[in-house]
Amino acid sequence: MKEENNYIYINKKINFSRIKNSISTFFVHAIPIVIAIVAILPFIYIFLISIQHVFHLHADPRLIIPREPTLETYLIVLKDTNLLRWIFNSFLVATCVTAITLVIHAAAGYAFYKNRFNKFINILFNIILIGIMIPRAVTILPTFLLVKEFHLLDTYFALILPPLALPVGIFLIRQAMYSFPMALVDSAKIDGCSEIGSFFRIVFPILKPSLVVLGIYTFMEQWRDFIWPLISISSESKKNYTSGVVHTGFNISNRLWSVYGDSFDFNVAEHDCFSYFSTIFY
Amino acid sequence: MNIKRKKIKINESLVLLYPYLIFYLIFMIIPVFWTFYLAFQKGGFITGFEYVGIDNFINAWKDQIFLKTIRNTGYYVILIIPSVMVFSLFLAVLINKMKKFQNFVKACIFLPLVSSVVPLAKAWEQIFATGEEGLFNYFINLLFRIPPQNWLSSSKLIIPAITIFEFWRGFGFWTIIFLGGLSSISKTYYEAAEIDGASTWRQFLYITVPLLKPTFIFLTIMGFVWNFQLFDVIYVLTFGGPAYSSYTMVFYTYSNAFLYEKVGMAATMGIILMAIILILTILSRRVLERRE
Repeated sequence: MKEENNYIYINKKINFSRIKNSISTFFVHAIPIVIAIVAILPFIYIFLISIQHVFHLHADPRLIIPREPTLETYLIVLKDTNLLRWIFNSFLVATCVTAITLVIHAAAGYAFYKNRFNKFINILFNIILIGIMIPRAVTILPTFLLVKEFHLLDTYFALILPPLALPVGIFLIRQAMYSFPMALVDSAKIDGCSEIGSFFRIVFPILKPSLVVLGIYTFMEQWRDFIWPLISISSESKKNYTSGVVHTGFNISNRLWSVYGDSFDFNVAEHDCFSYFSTIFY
Repeated sequence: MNIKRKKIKINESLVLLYPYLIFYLIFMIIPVFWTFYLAFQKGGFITGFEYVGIDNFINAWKDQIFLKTIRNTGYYVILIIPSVMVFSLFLAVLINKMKKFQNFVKACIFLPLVSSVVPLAKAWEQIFATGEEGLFNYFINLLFRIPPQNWLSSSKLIIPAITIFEFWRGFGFWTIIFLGGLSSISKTYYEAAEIDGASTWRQFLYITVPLLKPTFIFLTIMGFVWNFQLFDVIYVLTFGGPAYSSYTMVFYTYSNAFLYEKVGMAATMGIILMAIILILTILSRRVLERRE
């Protein structure tokens, strides 16, 4: 009798732990998926609103499933704003900054790594690292004055040049250099390759994985940058995507107001959803 | 002879350093010193400057709005850093254990981060809409039975609302960094702990957390540096309103310099902000590194 009891107990325990295991794997998968869906919910919401007809939206703003899907808002946005131009500008500036950053940051990171036993160079590197902690608010005023002195305000150069000084890339590349096979550089030198030549022919190609990370990071930062384009660019045609979009929502809703004779709060969001999707697909 | 050759070698590779150093000098070192110069000046971009000594610092201390911006920013930082840190660590541990859908989850949580703040903030303006029409109000009513709130027009709820937005936008990045940290922890520790009979919770507490310390230090420091510079959302979502209750330090600096023509004042505030960030990063580093 006792033995049987014991047997049942063990059996139950095994079953119990198995159930417990499967429950825990279920939660391990379910919780992140739910969080992920909640995280993209605003995107879906905006998309649904964007294809909604304005009349229905005004009647019931909670109406999320579109009754009469339409692309009208998209046409209005394309016709009335410089949106495509701004996206092009953003793209151009971000690409330029990324390309130049990759070359000069990789070069400097390599040089810092190579001369890491030189006391003076090390101090210089630490000074540059402090730059990470200096807030943009501190440097942005004098940078504005400086760019003004150079007569570069309201040009593409104003957008491209200042971000090149950001020190994150240097740090990243120098860290990546620690796992770099320096013997390759030495052997290149024995074969008579100059320092700069060996950098471009050997170091640059092998650093590719870190350069991809740095490139994506830089491009993203430039794409999202808001305060600096807002300050330095004033003409409509040179505006960056972010600084352009910020004031157009108002104009668009004004226009729709004149068309439909009513005020629509949601037009702002409708307009933006377009910009949105262009952001995602860049 | 040997020494001479060595010197030449160093100089040659230093050529690669020059292009970056030029940019760093022009757009980083000169501006920082220029800010210190501007902090002792009065005037604006149009009127020109005039030396006033330390008046700016005294005025900043007396400026009620500036003190309010420090409180607002501090409140925001205190709300966001612990919440994002705990939440994204939890999420990263779960994602690390997932066997399927890992990439789907990673892509989804990264999406808000890749898009620019401006359209996102405009969209959340609609989500935070007052009454039951707002999606956010609707959901919290559904889940927690909280009556609809005026998120963006109440001076008490504006900072939490911004925190919710920034939380949504930022947790993906923190999670990805934590995942990077987790993937560098060797599996053998966990196997050993399992043989010794340690529960999942114990394993987390005594293996994961101590070994993630470099990640914690990095994220705390970067969290201070980023979150003290909150600007974009304020500009798009509230423009400082209602009644200065969402003015942050950078937003006040911006409006002083480019709206009120008080460049010297703005430079002073920038320096105070920099001092706060530096002190906090040094302190947090000391505290976190001491816990050996």
